[in-house]
Amino acid sequence: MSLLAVEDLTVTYPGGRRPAVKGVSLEIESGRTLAVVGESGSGKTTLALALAGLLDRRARRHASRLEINGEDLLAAGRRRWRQLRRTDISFIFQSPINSWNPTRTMIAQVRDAMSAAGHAGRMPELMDLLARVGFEDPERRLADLPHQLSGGMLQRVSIAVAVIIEPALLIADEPTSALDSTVQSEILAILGELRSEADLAMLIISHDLSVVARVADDVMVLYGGKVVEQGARAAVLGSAVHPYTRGLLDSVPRLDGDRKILLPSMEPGHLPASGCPFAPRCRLVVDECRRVEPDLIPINDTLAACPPAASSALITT
Amino acid sequence: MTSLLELTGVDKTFVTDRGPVRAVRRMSMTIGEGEVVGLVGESGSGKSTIANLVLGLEQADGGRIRFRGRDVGEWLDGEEAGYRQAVQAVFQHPFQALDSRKRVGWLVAEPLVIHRRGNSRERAERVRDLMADVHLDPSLVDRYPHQLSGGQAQRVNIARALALEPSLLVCDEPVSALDVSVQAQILNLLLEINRERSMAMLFISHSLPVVRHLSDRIVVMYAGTAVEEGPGGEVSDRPTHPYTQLLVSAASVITGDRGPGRGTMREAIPSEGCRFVPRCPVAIERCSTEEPSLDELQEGHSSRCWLASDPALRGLGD
Repeated sequence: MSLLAVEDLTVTYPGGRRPAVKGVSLEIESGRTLAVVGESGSGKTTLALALAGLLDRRARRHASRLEINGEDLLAAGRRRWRQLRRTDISFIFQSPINSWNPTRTMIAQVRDAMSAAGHAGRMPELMDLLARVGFEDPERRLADLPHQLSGGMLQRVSIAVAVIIEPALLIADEPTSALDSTVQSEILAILGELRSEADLAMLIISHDLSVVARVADDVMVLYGGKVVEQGARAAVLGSAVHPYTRGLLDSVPRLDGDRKILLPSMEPGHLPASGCPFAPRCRLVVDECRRVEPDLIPINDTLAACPPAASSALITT
Repeated sequence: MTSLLELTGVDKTFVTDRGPVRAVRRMSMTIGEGEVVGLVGESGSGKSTIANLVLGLEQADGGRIRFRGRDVGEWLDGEEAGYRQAVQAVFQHPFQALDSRKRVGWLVAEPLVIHRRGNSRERAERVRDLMADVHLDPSLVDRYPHQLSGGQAQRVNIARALALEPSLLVCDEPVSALDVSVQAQILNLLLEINRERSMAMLFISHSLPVVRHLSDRIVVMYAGTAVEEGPGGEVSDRPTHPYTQLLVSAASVITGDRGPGRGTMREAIPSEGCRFVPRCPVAIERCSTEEPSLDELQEGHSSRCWLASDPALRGLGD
């Protein structure tokens, strides 16, 4: 059974021309990781907030299904969500330094977080876990204020605290974007390792497909609030068909790529009021795309919302 | 290639609550006319301090920084305007570098006003040209920074930097804060600028693939000093220093490889011997006691590692 099940989720902010998230469906099983990839304005953070009951009060949410651990949460109130966030849903944010109060020692804040989750007695276990993820003498280091620790160390504490309360669902919003590339890979490795040990479901959000792909089992690409492509990690990395996914993959410099050549970059474009959200930037665009909003259809090994890609996939194979 | 910028044995120490921090240690490097040199390293490696020293925002404690053969300190004392015209910069956070109360047209014209170039009609014309050069729509000229996207704001910063036609552009993590598709556009723009104006660049980033894409030469910095240096393709395809090899493995993702395991967290950097020893998978006893020098292995490709010429170590990079 899926730990998290969402069907047809739409979120609209007041005054928004189009919904921030539109018709998104997803399922994650325990022990699996779904990576949600999208750039600024794709709706990825709104999606994460909706799944943790953290949407702004003014936001309007519609869904035909929203379940965590089999519990129907469509009608759950703020109080129930707050409870869930203490015991069942953990969050890791992008900016490690902003996740902690700058004026209190790490140890005091960690203790608070643990007792709020009802795990005050498990501090020794947390210290062991911190030692395992690379802290020498964690007790001593946690006596420091947040700014005295590096971004990578702060993110290790966030992850350790998020995981040790044994949540069912871990949501990580750009957990490595603020970090160096070597630290990024260390943090991702730690996340992957702890996730499989704890057998929890993980939703990891990023603008960089190449980064999140490392820990994901499945990948979902958002553009303009819509899912434009989804599939197993290898399929999306290896044989993505949606022009936006292809563009994301191609616009990242690669170590084995050509040097000093122009990257095949996507021109910026506005989100149109109707039709395919990517149409104004798309190289495969046909008239139909501007009129009809495409649904996800199976093309090669993934599901993609792009009828023209389907026909060009037929031609090339 | 004649050298435009030359750093020789540069030192910089900051005094902090926890004692002195040697941010840059005996750092030497050169940038030739029209050459793009990529400086890659992680937070705390000293790469941004190098940028600040070159820009004269910090002063070195030792060593020399020469621009066109003349000491940068001397330039700044005697001919600051000349140096500022010749050396310009683009930083990581596009919005922080722009005055939020000024419009795009004013922002792009500002360097021209400060350096008293042309009358207002000529400046308006120049602003139009500069905006076209960085592919900014002319209609944006009356916008305020908050009305721009991150990519547009970074183009405004680049247009400002180009206004005085510098011969060296210092780019400190210019794409790290941007979405990947916008990153690609800014990298393309910088490549174009380098080609069309043969403008030299010091391009600083923590990402080896990004640096490799743009650079003629790469300098890898660790704990305040250069640990490897060589032609762009050479350093990333045949890394000889274990730290560069770590950067290469951290970057090889998209191919479906799950990347390296988690290494040990770098806490204390030793104060003698090779600074990379605590994280190094191949360190020998000598490494802890004696710091290697930056030795040339092949023409133009140098490495600061006792084992760099050992074929067994070299195999690790593959």
